[in-house]
Amino acid sequence: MSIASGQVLSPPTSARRGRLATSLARLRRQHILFVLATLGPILLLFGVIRVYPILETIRLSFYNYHITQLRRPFIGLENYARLLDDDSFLTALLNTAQFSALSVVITLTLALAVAILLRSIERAAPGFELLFYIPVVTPWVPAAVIWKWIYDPMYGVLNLGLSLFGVPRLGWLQEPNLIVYAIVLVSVWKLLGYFVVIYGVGLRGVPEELLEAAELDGATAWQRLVHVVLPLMRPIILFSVVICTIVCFNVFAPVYVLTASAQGAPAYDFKVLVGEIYQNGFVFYHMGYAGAECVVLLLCVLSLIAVQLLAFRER
Amino acid sequence: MRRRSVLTSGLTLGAGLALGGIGKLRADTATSGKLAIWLGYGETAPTYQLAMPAFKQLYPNVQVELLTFDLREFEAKLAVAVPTGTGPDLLALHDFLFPRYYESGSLDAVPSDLAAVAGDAKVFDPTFTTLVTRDGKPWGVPWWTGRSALFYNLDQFKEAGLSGPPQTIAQLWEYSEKLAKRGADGNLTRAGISLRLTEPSGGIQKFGYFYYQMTGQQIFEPGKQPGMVRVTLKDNLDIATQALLDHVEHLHGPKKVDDWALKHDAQGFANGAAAMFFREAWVIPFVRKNGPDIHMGVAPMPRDKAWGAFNLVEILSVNKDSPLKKAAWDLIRLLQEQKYLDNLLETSGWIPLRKDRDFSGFLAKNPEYRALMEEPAGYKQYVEAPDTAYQEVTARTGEVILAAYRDASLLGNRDAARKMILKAHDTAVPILKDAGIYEA
Amino acid sequence: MFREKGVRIAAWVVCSVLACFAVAPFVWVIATAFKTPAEINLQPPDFLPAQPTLENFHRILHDEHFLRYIGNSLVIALGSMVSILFTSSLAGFVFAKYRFPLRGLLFLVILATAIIPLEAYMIPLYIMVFKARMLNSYAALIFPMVIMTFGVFFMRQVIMGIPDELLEAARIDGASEFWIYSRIVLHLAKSGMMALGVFAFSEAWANFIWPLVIVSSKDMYTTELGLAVYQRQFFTEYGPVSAGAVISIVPMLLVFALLRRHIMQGIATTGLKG
Repeated sequence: MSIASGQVLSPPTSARRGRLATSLARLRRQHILFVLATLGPILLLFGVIRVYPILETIRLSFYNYHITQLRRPFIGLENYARLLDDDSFLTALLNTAQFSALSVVITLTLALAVAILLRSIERAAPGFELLFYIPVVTPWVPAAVIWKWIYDPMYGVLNLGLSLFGVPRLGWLQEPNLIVYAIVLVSVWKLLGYFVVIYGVGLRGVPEELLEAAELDGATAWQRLVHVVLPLMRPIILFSVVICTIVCFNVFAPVYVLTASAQGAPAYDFKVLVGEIYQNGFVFYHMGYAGAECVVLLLCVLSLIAVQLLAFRER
Repeated sequence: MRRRSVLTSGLTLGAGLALGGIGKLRADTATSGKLAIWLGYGETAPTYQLAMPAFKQLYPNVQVELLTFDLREFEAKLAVAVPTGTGPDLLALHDFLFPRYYESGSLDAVPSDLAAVAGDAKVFDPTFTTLVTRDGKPWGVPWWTGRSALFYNLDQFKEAGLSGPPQTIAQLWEYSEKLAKRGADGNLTRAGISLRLTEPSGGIQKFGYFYYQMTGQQIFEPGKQPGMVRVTLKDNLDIATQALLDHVEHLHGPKKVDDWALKHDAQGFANGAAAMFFREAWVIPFVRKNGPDIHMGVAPMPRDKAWGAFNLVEILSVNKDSPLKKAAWDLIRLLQEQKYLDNLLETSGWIPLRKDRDFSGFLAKNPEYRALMEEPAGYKQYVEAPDTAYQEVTARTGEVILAAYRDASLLGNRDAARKMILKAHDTAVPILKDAGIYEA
Repeated sequence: MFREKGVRIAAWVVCSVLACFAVAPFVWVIATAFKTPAEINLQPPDFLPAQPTLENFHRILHDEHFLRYIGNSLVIALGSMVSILFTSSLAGFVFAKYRFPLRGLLFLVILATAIIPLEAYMIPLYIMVFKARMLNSYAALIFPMVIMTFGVFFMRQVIMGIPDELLEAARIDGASEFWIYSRIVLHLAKSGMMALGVFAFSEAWANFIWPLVIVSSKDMYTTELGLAVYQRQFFTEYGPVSAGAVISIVPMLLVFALLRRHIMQGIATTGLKG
């Protein structure tokens, strides 16, 4: 810490070079100390709050672990073998995949389109972004209150609106074929604003000169979009796809709050992976089995991310 | 029940005094702390609150805290809390949750005076005593029951030219066809009977109402060994198939009387969107409040081969790990007194189980409750088999039955319907085997 | 970006329709929160309340003690936010600006923990909190939310955008590493910190399942938990439920509206733009 300022600016002589090397070494030692002192406790927190419980859950997946029973035998891969002919689990896996595919594609396409359109009405953009962001900061519990009314088959606004176009009454949360769309719609509503903001930031970073040059070359708006804007947006799109995939594969809260059985307005029991994990772990007490489902969830998301990273690789 | 209760009240005076004696206890100022009670049915909270002043006199330094939750969340909370010894002090458990907490050794043995009452056939019907008894000892005191009954809309019955409630299952279906109403677009606007079409556990329970009357058995019967469970679907395959076909027939095609897109259950009934449905007594205060224009009739369950009402029983137990066990038991003693039981009936609509209490005054003022509280000869009160895997086995079996309801191709297809019943049976067996409670 | 008239018209139309889609449910709830019970039950419903009433808010805030719940939520959300800002910026700084063994691996491990949601591994966490005798405390409510994977990732992105030369210059001036972090890095990452802060606050505010299992007394309820419990119990009481919903949403909206500029700028500095 005793290096006077300015020294570094003058060309180093051999003597100075020696001193600089020792001080650099000392600096590096200091860095190591600093890294250890700061990252250590933080990593410890991650270890305790995230890594350990996750590893513990994975460990339990090899046991027949029942929280109220004292006998908890090791059963190897049996939990995993049973997953293969568990209809509920397979349905949940399929539903989650279908929901995620729809939700990710619709949310991100719509968000990108909106973000791009907003760039042509730059002055109104902040206002719109604020409106789109309202659902993002709306917690799920009040959001469910709202959407349950909207979806109500007899008194809901959605069926009321659709009936003007001659659409017959639909049980949005009651029909197994419809509920996935109902939940996709709620998710799009909830997530759209977040990605509009993220894309908006990316788009603002596209150099105006490039666009003007392309315009001078006679490129149409569409050509400018496809050949100038989108290639520059690749990293941010990849980021959004990964985040959105994780969020959607972990879907639980909207399903839980929308189908929670308030008397008189119960909904179809739409199964998703995290819901099955919750039910097996908390309601049926099969923590080991829930752990196995957890591992499958982890592997699914990891492989999806790997595929996405490969697909977006720079060619 | 009323007539018997007047008779027996004299006989059980001794037991009553044992409980009444609590008032003479001196205030216990040495005990202090917070006594936690968690409820999965919030509507009983006012009764606990009513008992607070009396309890405060006994324990001026004990604070009682009532937390109410949605039933599903209540179960989740208990699931993590009780095994780790962090549960509430007073456990208000349904008969289907009770075995799990008994098995895990979480419950305190009932003090001898209360145990004598809980085991007294003059105070509690043996059906309910059996529920709380293990190894010859009670581990809780039955408090109230949610007894099934048929609720029907008097005005809609009159409009359909029906003079009284259906007496048999066959009549029930016949009436429901007359009561169902369609709009101009052909959609049902009113269910003839609101069936339980969603939420698997409730679905199989309500299917079980039909099944019980038609067979005299429950789908899950208690085994010969205590704690064991038998699945009876295969024994009654033809009748079970018929019950399923009856449902499918009334959910699809020309005889359709209910639809998934209708408002269901108590809310549907309070809105006038359902002419009949099976439920428990809490519906009465609910409809009075939410559907003040509805004139409701309440009738015993319609009969078939058998005749009985299903009882969902709430049991009061004390957490073995609680530091306030004595205070918790004293609160349970208090809650047995007439005025709190009256309040329970009046505010929540759940029916107190004590036969040595007199509700004749209440019944005179609230005749709707007669069908729920009187027990005509031959009307059997039955309860769920004790079952540590209750949630799982009912949820998974219920899923099969509810999926079958949706399947229009089952209409008139006895073979396919039989296959669904067999599938339900085969879904239940491995779950019970896994839990170690299956009896062939 | 696109000045063509067609695009601009399309932009107005599409954005207006979607904005309606985004806010209509919210407007509906606000309207309901000010309605009398009679008006709520009207068929077909009125959109705006004819005789606005504050009765629903009074019932929720006063009779149902939501003021206390709001206070709890604030303590938890602010505690979680401060902790996440501190840990994320520090970890982000270290991962962005230092080379050390296993750096890549450690960062990957942190990222990987975001793939599984809290609901999936809540039981081991619960047992941990129980063994530490922390149940039903603010500490337990904040505990799983003192760190945030996304926060570390986000702050690393933000801090990577700060030129190395600035840090080097300070070092040569004799600054300690912690001084560099607290005076230079935090100062330059201010917008990013605000964006993350709002995000962390709203996540903690909206949390529901964890408080549900941890809390065992009413005085520790959060706004979300109180609302959920109230709604399940009184599911036909639309007025107070709506008032509760409005109360739980509005603070988030205010924060976002006030800090919007910083948030956008903060996200812009993450280098996500490529």
